[in-house]
Amino acid sequence: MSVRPAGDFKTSYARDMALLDIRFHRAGFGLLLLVLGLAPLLLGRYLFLLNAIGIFAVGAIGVSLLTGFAGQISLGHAAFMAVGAYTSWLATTRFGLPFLVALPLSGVAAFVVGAVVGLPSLRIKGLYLAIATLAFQFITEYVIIHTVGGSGGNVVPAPRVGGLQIRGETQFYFLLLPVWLIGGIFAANLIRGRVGLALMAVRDRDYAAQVLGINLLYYKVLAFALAAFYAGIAGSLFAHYNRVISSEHFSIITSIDYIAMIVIGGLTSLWGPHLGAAFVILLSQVLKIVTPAVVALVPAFGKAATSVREIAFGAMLIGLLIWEPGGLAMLLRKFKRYLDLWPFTY
Amino acid sequence: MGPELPLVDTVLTVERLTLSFAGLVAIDGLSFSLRAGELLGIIGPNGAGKTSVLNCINGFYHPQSGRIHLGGREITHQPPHVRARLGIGRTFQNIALYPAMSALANIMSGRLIHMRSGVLAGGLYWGPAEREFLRHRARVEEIIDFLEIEAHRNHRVAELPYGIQKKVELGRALAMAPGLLLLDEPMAGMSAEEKADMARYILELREVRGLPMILIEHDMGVIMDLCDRLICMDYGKKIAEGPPQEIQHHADVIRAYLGEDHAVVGGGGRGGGEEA
Repeated sequence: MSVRPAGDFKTSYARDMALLDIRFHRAGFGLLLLVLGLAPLLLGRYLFLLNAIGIFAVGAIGVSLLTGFAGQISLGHAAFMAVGAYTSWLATTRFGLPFLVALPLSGVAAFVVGAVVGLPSLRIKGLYLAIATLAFQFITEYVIIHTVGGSGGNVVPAPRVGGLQIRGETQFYFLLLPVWLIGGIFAANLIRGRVGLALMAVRDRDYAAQVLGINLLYYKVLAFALAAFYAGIAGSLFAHYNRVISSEHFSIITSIDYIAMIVIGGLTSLWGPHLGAAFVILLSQVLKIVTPAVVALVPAFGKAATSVREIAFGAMLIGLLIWEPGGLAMLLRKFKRYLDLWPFTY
Repeated sequence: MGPELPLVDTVLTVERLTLSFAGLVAIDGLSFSLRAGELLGIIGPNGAGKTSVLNCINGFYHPQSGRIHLGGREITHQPPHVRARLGIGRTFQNIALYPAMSALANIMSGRLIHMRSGVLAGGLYWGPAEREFLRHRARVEEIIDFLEIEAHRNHRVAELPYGIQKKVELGRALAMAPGLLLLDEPMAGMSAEEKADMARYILELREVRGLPMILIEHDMGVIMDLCDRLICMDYGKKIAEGPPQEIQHHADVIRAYLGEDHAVVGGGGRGGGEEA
C-alpha cells in the first residue's frame, strides 16, 4: 500500500525523494527540533534521561544501518563502542588532544576495527556471523581488562570545547544534540541515496546484487565500518559523559540492548534507533523505580527483582515480533496513515 | 541473417566451455558466439544446461575449461560484479528482485554501477550527490514508462503480481544500460497477454536499441518468432545451431525433445519440453 495524503502534490523528483516530503512532516520536524532545543527547560533535572537516550541513539543508528538495512547481524556492537570510548580516553589523557579532535578520532578508530571485523561476513552468514561478532565482543572485553585498566575503570576528563569546560547535564546536552542530529540526518541521507540502495540490495538478495554490479565484500565491510563508526562516536560521548569507563560498560548486555533497541524501535526505519533507544532507556529507568516499590509491597517478588529488566525486555521483544515486527516506528506510521485518511477510512 | 555471414562485430564468444559438478557434466565443450544486435535463443529439454551457460557468462559458475570473451576482452575469471560493470545484464528464471524494496528502488538499483558519489557525499546528500541521483532517477522513469508500470512504482515488489514482477526485473536489468542482456525464461508462467507484452519489449529492445540478447525460453512459438538464431542443447552439448526454420526440422532436435519416432516439433504453439 502506498497511501498519499490528499492535496499535497509532488511536481519534481527532488520533492519525491525529500526526507520530509510533505508539509505536515516538515512542520512536525520543526516542532521536534524546537522541543529538543528547549528540552533543558522542559525536563529540568530529568535531562539526564535525554542525554542517555541521545548517546545510545547515536550508537543504535549504526546497528540499524548494519542489521536493519544491510541485513548483517552483530552481537559486538558494545565492543565497537568500547573502541571509541578507549580511543577517546587515550587521546584526551595520554596525548592531551582536545575533545573535538578525540570525538571524530574515536569514530575513525572504530571504523577501521569495524572494517576488519566485517571481513568474515563475506563467507559466514546469519547465526554464524552473530557468533563471530560475539567472539569479537569477548576478545575486546578481555583485551580491556588485561591491558588498559582492569575492571577498576579509567577516568576520562570532562570535555573541553574551545575555552569552555563542559560540566553538568545541560552543557553536555548541547554538545550531544548537534552530534545526534547530524548523525541521524547523515544516516537518513545515506539510506535514500546510492549507499542505502546498495546495502538494501545486499540484504534482500545478495546474488542478484552481484549481478547488478555490487561488490558484496565492499558493501558488507562498509556496513560494518559505518556501524562501528557510529558506535565509536557513541562510545566517545559516553566516556566523556560518564567520566569513568570500564569493561563492564561495554559488555555483551549492552550489545544485546542495542539489538533490543532497533527491534523495538523498528528495524528498517530511520526513526527506529531513536524511538528504540528512548524506549529502552525509559523502561530501564521506570523499572529501577518501580521494582523496589513492588518488592516493598510483595517481599516474595524480591528473588525475581534482580532480573526484572531482562524479563521485561524479553517479553517486550517476543510481543513485538508476534504483533508488530515493524516496531514502534511502524506503529507510528500506522497512526499517521490513520490520520492521513481520517475521518474517511476508506 | 544466417550463420554463414562473416563474424563482424562479435559481442560475445564462448569457446569450448566445459562445466561439471562432481562428475556430472553440465556443459560439454560448448562454443558459440553472439553478434552485435543479435537475438540468440537457447533451447533444449530440462536439464540440458541452458541456465548453466548463462551462469557461466555472468560469473556465478566457474567452468573447468574454456574461455569467454566479451567484446574482445577475456572475462572467464572475472567475478560477477565486474562482469556486470562491463555490461552484462541479466534476469532470472525464478524472479530475483529485492522483495522488501519498492519497484522504483529495485529499478534504481540497476543504476548503481553508473553512480559515483561516495559515502561522504551521499551522507551530505545536498549538491553533487543529489544532482547525480536525480539524473539517474530520470533515466529510471524512462524505463518505467517503457515497461508501462507507472502505477506500481511505489509498491513493495513482494506485493506485486507475478507478471509485473517479471517486468520490474527486466526494468532493473535495463537500468544498467547493458551491452548484453541475458534473459532466463522471461515469459515463464505468464498469461498470453503478458507474453505478448514481453515479446513486444524484447523486439523493441532489439529493433530500436540494437541490444544483443540471449534468450532462454520454453514457449517454442515465441522463441521461433523472436530469435534470429537458435542453439539447441541436450545433455550439455550443442546439438544444433541455425535459423529457427532450420532448427524446427532438425532431426537431432526432434529426437532430443520427443524421442526417436516423432517427426514434427514446434511450429505454431507448444512444441514440447514445456516447463511449469
